Amino acid sequence: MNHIEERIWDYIDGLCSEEEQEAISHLIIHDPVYSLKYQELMALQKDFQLLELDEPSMAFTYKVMEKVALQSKPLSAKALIDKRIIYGISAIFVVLLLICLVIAVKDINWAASFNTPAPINFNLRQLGSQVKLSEANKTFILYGFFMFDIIAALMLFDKFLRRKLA
Amino acid sequence: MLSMLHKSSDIEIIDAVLGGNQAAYADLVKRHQRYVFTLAMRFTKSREDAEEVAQDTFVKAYRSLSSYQRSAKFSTWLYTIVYHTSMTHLRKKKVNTTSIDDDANFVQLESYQSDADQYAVEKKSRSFYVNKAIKNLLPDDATIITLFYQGEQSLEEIAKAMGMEANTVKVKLHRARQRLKIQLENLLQGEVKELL
Repeated sequence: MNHIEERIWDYIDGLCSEEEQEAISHLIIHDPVYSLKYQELMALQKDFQLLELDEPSMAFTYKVMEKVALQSKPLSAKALIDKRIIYGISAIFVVLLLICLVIAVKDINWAASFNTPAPINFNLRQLGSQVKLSEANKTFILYGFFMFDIIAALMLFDKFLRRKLA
Repeated sequence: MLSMLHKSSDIEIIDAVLGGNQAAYADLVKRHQRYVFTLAMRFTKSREDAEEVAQDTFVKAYRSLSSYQRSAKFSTWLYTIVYHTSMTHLRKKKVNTTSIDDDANFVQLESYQSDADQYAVEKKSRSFYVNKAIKNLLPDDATIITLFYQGEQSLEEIAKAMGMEANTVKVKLHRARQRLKIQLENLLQGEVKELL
């Protein structure tokens, strides 16, 4: 295909830039080669618009719906997720949080807090050193926080992807 | 309910179907059946096979409706299903299909010859010749023209559906038009030059 034809097709299809569009329309008016080619391609374009869609048989929709009736109903992704799984996961996290809370409450030295002379000095480093947790509890809480962070990050990532795909 | 859905968009009908209203799918079928059937005809070159492919396409589309990504047109998504269903059908029937540039191997199947009788009345019309000429094209050429002119798909949408670059589709469209022009000229046996 020659360059002129390609340019004129792009012009007809509206695929060229505004500048190109102006340049080609100028050529169509003033250049007899372009003018002739344009007329030829416009006639073809009109022919292509005469193309018709074929018609299937009268019973087409009926036949399709008959086959569709035998299929199981398609469900949206929301409906496909079993709610029991979601509730199960939620229950696990609630139980984990409760365990963390119980351990933390259990490890607090209540007597020490009552004996603290006034005024109370909120020194975070001092407070940190006063909270005494066993190594196993510390590891458990640490992993708990890590788990929470990972899940939160995954939820944000999922939200971001959904927004991007929408 | 159905008459109300008739005026709804594709997405609204899809939501209704996914919500459990199976009957709403009939509206979607009615809306796209001619387009799907025409595309199937481009590949199979036979009404019977095209009807079978088109039906299978709609059943497959129904089954995978929940996986339809709403970023693309429903008709673009349907095209990918028509294409794969047609290829599977042709493979099963062991019909030899040819590549886009393999004109020498292209054989027009006989089923199309009967069209001449069917459309005897409009035999002389321009529309008749154009519609006949496209049927003489290679499946890929005919498909790209159908998607662009009858499916009203943009080059980007066709590229997405065919898994190609938009520029490649543009070149293929140019070539397909060129070949359709030649077919039309052959059919009109010189008359076309006078008409153009």
